[in-house]
Amino acid sequence: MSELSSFELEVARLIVESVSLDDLRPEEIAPNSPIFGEGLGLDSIDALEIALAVGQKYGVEIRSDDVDNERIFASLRALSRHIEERRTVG
Amino acid sequence: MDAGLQARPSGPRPSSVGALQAESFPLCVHRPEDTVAWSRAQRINCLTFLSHVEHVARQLPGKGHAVNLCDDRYHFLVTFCAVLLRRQTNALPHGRTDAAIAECARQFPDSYLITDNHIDGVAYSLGTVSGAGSLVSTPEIPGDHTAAVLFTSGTTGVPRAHSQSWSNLLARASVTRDRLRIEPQASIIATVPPQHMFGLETSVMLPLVSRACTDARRPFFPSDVRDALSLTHAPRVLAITPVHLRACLEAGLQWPDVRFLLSATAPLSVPLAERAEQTFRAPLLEIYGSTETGAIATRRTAKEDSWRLCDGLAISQHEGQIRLTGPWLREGFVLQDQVEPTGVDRLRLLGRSCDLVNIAGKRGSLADLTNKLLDIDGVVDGVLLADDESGRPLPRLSGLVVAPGLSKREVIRALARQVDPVFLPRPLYMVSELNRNASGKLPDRRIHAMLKTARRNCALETREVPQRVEVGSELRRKVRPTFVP
Repeated sequence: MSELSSFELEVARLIVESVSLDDLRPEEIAPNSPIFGEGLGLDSIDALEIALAVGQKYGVEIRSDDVDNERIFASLRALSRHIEERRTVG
Repeated sequence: MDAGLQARPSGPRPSSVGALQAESFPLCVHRPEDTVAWSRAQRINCLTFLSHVEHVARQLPGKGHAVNLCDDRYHFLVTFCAVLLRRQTNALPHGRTDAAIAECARQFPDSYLITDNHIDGVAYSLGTVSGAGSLVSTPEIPGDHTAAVLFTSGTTGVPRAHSQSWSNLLARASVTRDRLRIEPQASIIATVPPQHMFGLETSVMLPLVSRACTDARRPFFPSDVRDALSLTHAPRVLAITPVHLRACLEAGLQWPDVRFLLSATAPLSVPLAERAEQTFRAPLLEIYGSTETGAIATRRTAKEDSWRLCDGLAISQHEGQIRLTGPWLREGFVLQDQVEPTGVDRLRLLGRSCDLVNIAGKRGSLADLTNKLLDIDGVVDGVLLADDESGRPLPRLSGLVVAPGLSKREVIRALARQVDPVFLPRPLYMVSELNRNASGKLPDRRIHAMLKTARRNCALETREVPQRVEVGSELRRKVRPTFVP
């Protein structure tokens, strides 16, 4: 399993907390596997929770007409990078 | 104005549905220049809408049940009406899983799929909605025509089909229109899909009977909801689920004026309703209803405890059952929930049936879901739980499974083939046995204690990353909404 950077671990914690993945530890999330579908298997309600948590903690707005959504949600690593580039708070 | 395009002012009155079954009713009550829909921030007037309907109707196969999976609400509306124009029936499966669509096709072998998105194996794909038709007046549809078939999950696990005649759908929507006093040309924005009964009644049928206009989008994230509201004109009506509502309130955004909010699909808490009214500076009406009945009653949750029955409906108590009757429920419908009549048109909802669970607006039977879990090869014992220790509904089901030869991933994979993804348990713990009592039962108290132990053990162990499969195409659309006609 490849190592998570400290920021990726922080985002992993945010994901685990916001969608109540009680049976998963943040450090177990593979940085390059998909967050939705195969991978962590999260669904649309989880996307809503994650978007909310990301908005509140980092001030990064996620909207569904963003053509980059596929890339943003491709993996923990991609999501972390997206947040880091745009964060206004946190 | 085209004098030929005349529509009746409203749909059939609830008291007269039976007598009017044989009559015909117009597709919509809009005037020719009225806006019927907002599509990509553009108004679509009634003349253009009707020409789109006719254009699509001409392309449909000769006969059958149209499984209408269009994501874009305007595409759905045009398709819905085109299907009626061809005297065919819209089939609306309760989910987008292959199993839900296959079940629809099994019950209606003449089904064909219609979508506005690329799905493998789709028989008919709506490329663009454009092209001029030659309709000069609003077409009429016979009241007794079966306009739509909706499915419920059913306690046995086999989805049950519920047919709705055109006059029934109109009468139900007219009742909601009158209760809400929807203004002509109000904009209706909905976070629910049009295939769901709440979405169908509020964002498809309600505009057709009230000269209101529907917004083509299905806003998902809070920013989407705000954008959808901003890009439509006042007065605005927001039809939203409690899940989306909570997300919107917590997002801390500035909201455009909203005339009122409608909430349904899951119980709404009083504090959430109060916060919504403060934030949106508008009343919030909660709708109590079901796929079988449509809207049954409404209440302003922030201000009142009891529900006001929708006009035309009546409830009666008989042998411990509460039966709902009305013009479009002539055989009556026995409510699953515990309901106490408190006046001629008032009722209190004491509790939901404990077997029925509602996750993200999808209804399922806990007994049926548990049986599906137990039916998996290799599963020895298992239990699913829908409430927390205080009896409050959990956002997801929790599960405990005894399956010595299987990994958690295998159990989830097998279950995902059978049930809608929202019902996949989270967390799911693999345990060596379930602590059943002497009579073989598992009181909730014991399940909670086992869950607590499993959670503690899990935190101490290092395990493989659990993987889940099968996410609805719904999600792929939401995180990858690149559809351009």
